[in-house]
Amino acid sequence: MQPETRQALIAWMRQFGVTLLIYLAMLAASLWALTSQAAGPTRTALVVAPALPGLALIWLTVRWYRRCDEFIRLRVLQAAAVSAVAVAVFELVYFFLELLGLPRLSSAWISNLIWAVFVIQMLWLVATGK
Amino acid sequence: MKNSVPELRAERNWTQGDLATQLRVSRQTVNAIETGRYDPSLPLAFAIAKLFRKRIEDIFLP
Repeated sequence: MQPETRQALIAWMRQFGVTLLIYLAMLAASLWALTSQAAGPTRTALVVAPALPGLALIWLTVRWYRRCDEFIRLRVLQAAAVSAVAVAVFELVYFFLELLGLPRLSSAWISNLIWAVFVIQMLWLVATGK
Repeated sequence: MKNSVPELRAERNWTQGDLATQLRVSRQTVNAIETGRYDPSLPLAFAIAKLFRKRIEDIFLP
């Protein structure tokens, strides 16, 4: 992998990691507000606040994707497809496991899981792209 | 698709990184093209042909 491409990928992962931490912090604040705050504008703002870093994650990824060359774009699209299929299979299997008594999962976990599977593949791309 | 990119590159004593820099793509992309794992887009194939001063059909074989 070309040093600039590799650096761009590592820079994206660093920015993504920081934004993900902000997202998780705001998610915690959101859940706290949801369970312990009275209804009102402050509570509403806190509950929807995680959407902002969530959008930032998407923006960072799109910006980085547009800087990639055509082959890396193909690899990224393949990673996105694998993430979607892997999570869809997991979701289907877990649905039946829920029927057997496993705890219900929030739909927010699906989004987190997709990102996790995608980032693991990007780490693999960095590791194997020397 | 087979191609003669490795031979053309070797004739010029270029590394994959050198070729990648001139084509403004990643070294991984050059490696994938040379090993036949990836067929380049038409614009990239034209860029390769122009760089080696050859016709596309002289470099890429079906």
